[in-house]
Amino acid sequence: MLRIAIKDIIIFFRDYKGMLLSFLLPIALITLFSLAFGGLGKKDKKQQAVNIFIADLDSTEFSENVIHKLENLEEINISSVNFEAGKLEIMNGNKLAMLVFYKGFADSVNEGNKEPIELFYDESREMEAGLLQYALISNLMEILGSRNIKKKIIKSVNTRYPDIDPSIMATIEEEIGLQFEDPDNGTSGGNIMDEMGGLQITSLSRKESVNWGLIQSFAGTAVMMLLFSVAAMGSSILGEREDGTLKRLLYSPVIPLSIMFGKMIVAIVIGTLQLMVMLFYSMLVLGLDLGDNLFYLFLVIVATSFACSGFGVFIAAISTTRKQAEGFSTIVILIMSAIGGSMIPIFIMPAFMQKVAVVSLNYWAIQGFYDVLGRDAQFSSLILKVGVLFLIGIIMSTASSMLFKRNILKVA
Amino acid sequence: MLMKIVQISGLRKNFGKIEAIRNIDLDIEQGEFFGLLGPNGAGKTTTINVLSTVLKPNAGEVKINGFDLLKNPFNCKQSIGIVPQELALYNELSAKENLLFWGGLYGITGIKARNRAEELLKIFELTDRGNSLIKTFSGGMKRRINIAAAMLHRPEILMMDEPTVGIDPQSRNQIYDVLSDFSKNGVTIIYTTHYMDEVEKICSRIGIIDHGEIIAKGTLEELRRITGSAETIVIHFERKNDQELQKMKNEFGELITVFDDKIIFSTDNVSRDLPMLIEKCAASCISLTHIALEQISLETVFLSLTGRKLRE
Repeated sequence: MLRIAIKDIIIFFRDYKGMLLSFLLPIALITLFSLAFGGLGKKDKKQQAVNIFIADLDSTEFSENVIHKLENLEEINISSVNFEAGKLEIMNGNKLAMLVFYKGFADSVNEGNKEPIELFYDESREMEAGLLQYALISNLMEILGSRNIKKKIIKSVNTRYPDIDPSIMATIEEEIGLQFEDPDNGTSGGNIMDEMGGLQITSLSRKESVNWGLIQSFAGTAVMMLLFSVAAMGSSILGEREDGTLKRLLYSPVIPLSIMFGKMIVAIVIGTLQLMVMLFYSMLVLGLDLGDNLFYLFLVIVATSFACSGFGVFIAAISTTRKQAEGFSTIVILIMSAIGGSMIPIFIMPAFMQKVAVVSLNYWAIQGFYDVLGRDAQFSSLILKVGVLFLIGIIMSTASSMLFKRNILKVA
Repeated sequence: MLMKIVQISGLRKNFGKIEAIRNIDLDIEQGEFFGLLGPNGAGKTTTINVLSTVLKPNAGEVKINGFDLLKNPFNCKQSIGIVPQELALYNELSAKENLLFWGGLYGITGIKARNRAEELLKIFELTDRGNSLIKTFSGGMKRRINIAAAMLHRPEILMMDEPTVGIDPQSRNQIYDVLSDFSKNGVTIIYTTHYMDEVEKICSRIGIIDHGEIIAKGTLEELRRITGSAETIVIHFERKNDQELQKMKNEFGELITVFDDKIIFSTDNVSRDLPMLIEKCAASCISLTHIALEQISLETVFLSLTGRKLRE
């Protein structure tokens, strides 16, 4: 078995083009995905500002004041535009969105009425628009909120109690003024606003600074590319059958199953090597933090390689020709990568798809890497992912050994 | 008396309803160069696969080098070196690495293996190419390494399944010479082919296999005697008369084979039959260009045994 494995490793390294492709292609993809996910070497988590139009149809001092405050926000780049021209630009796909302050905006705020503001966005960029909407709403609430609430409360009291004593009303207005910031005179004193304060959001991680985009890029790409590599190694059994060397191996006094397990050993060794090269590249060039526990990291790497190699021989065992195995493995790997989080991060997917993801080998491997590289997780948390990966490998190789006898050992 | 190194009795192998081997009985003695001759699909490769323990027979008993095929497959495999029909070599490995790998599977390792590999490279005149990758070899060179790979563990029996397919005459002759030397040194060779000239040239005993059965076996002389003829008269002609040729065919039956430019007549008495044939040709307006006397060929033997040509 070892002799067969060593022979295959020598052959793998002799094929310089194939070998370089096995290492360089994943590295190139990891780099590309890192750039795409915006996590390349960044630790400060600053987001790129979104460019939007603003059409000020109100043109009052108050609306200009609000726009000025929006201009000071880091997450938004504002440029003024004519309303119709702005709509056209969005429809042509040249701009993500346009925020419109309609005529009467300042009056509505002063009177505590609903503000005539509208956000137009490019339908094809709905996801980006959603994120922008969130940023705009929270900032507009902050800018307009206290003044608006103050006006609404006073208006409500006046409506409900039209006969209220003016001195009592003055006291109420004074108290409300103390509780809410007034953008007109710059008072802050907002006890209620401070108490309401909005939702305090704090991210939880054992590590101080985690570049999740880069971890996703590495783990997602590495697992997908590894699957492609080991599938090719597994289907080399079928190549040996087509070349006649399998028949010669069977003529020799070796146990037939040792041929399959020899291939698996090669896949595990090369797979581990590939993952380590990708990992070191991500660390040295892209700035990936490997964390403190290298043993856990190695455990995830070996478990991933084992599961992937089991998958590789399984694909070979259920196929009858090398071409069939290559075609079949490509389809299965792409599906597993799509649902398992290699192509698209799991958290972006709908809840249903997040549940489906657990059937994919990619999911468990990626979560394993998330645990050691991002969450700095304890062994108790990691063992589930590593255990599932080993289980996948064992099930796949056991099934393959049964199918191998039936499908591949037919020499006549 | 020489040891019977291969003993086959009542061997049968079916693939579903297809009977690939039907009741083969055959003994091969140590050092014999045994040719298994038959057309494609006759059962040659299936026989090799059964003898090499890769296929299990449906019935029958086989002993290889004294070991029962079913009870001691490992010992049987150790006794055999197999040269498959395909060039079963790794193109990305050198000739020497291939030899060491295949020898290693039989437990031949280290200095012993390296020495043996050098020895075989020398025998096959490939010493200077030992470190070259197989993918750089010509077809003939690959064939030679293909044979050498089966010899590294010094097997008592060498089974060769059409080992000279698609190579030039020079490489083929070199292989014949090497195999003859192996045979002289006591290696038993079982050689399957559908090239009759190969069998006539190198085999000491021949088995003719057709439809999964050995229909005749013996030395070339013994097989020639089966036809009842000793020689053939080959008459080449320039101008023919199809009607008259057909008449001759009807008159002499299996003794005569008619081709486009010649007729072959099997005879045990040339002095009696040659004048008769010349007379008949003259009477039939067939213009003769050349007459030759040849020994009975295996083609003729096969024809007389099966009623058809080997390649039909």
